[in-house]
Amino acid sequence: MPNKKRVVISGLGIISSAGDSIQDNWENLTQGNVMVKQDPRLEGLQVDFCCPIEGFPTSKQIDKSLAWRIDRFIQFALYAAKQAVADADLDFSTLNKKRVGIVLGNSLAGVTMLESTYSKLHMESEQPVSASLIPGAMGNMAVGQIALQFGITGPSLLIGTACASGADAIGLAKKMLENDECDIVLAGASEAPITKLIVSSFASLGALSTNPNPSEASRPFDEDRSGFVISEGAGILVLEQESHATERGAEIYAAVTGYGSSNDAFHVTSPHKDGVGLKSSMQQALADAQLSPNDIEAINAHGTSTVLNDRTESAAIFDVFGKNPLVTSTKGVTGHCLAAAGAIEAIYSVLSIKNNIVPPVAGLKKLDKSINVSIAHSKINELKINSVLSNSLGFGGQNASLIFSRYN
Amino acid sequence: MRNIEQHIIEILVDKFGIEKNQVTVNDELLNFGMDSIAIIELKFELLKKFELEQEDLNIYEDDSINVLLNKIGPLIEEKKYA
Repeated sequence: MPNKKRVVISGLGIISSAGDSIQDNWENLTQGNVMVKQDPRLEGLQVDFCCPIEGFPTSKQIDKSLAWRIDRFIQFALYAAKQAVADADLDFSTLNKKRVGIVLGNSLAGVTMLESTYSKLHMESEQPVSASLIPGAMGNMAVGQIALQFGITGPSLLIGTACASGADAIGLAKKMLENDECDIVLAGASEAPITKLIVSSFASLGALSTNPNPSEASRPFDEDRSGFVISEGAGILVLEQESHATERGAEIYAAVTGYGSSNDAFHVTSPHKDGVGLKSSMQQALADAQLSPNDIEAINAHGTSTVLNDRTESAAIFDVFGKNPLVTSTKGVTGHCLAAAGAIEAIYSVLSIKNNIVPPVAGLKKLDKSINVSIAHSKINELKINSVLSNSLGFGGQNASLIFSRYN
Repeated sequence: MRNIEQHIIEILVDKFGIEKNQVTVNDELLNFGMDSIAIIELKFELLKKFELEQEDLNIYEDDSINVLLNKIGPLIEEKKYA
């Protein structure tokens, strides 16, 4: 196999409950500000709180003439993509657009639009269903709208590996760049799952926290954790061949050095009790990055705040890394935005390297005694970070691990 | 006619998010970013607003507001005397 190209990150774009800019996200993350709120969209449900993005979209974020016809998850994706492209200082008039790709992750497609249209159809059966429903709600349309926005004509793909989608999208983009299929790939994920139908369904599964005090509901690794808090958002990274980035004088955040993926083949929603699949994906990522476990200073865990995930994930981390890396979960701040989580947390991992900070686990009061990895307690943890591993796990037995390294 | 024109502009602005100062009566709808799917939606809105029958009205991306007035006006008149 010919020499693989090195892959770097030259742009970041984000919208989450922690803010619509990199700066706001990082500030809320490092301060451990919990973003949980009661949400009128969930009025009347047993679980009526989440980590919402309020006031979106303004006409500055998404043009009104487009906003009406695309689902919220596409709006998030477009907004994050525009931010990332601006951050990377990409000028599409000078790029070979056939060599630019898009790989996004998503899980539930345009469920907001589907659900509201379906309700309307029941209320007013004589009214025609909007012609924009299909093109505005299909999963791949997030990719399609970004391609339209920038005139990108290279490979454009949508990955559906549930809550591992964002990480898998970045992993696949890394491979495409390494194999010289593209010069640049916009990679990340988007999700807008806060609807009555979806939240009720997760609640029925017993996956959501029912903590009577919502601000204490998302508490990864805590002895009293009882489930995750649902969230929404998008994260998009500009991944680029190192040579391409340096030739155009791009500012480089970090390198994407490792990727591993696996399936537990164990249960539709529960992780493997021994974390076999997750260990495999972390080991694959290490091998891909040509690093040893001791080279990883920090881990951004999937850390959903469910009893099962946090226990099995931390045990798997201990088996592969021991107690050396400092482990955090940023879902104490942002909640869990499903497919988008892996992409948003990839951005947080990159920012950890840039700032030499591991954000604290917000919401953690009393560490679960069965967890024996080093958890980043509720304070800012400063340390020299050269490599961060980020885990994402999804329904269907999905596991994905990414490693980001300091760019020299 | 003036009233119909105002209604059409109102729909373009309120439903389709087009800036009011962008709307002119002679420009093709396509110039306001109204593609084939938006045109289907616009037709639904106009049928609802003016209580017209679906088969009576055909609109296209290269129609202008003036062209729409010429299509819709006679249909409304016809309805009045039916």
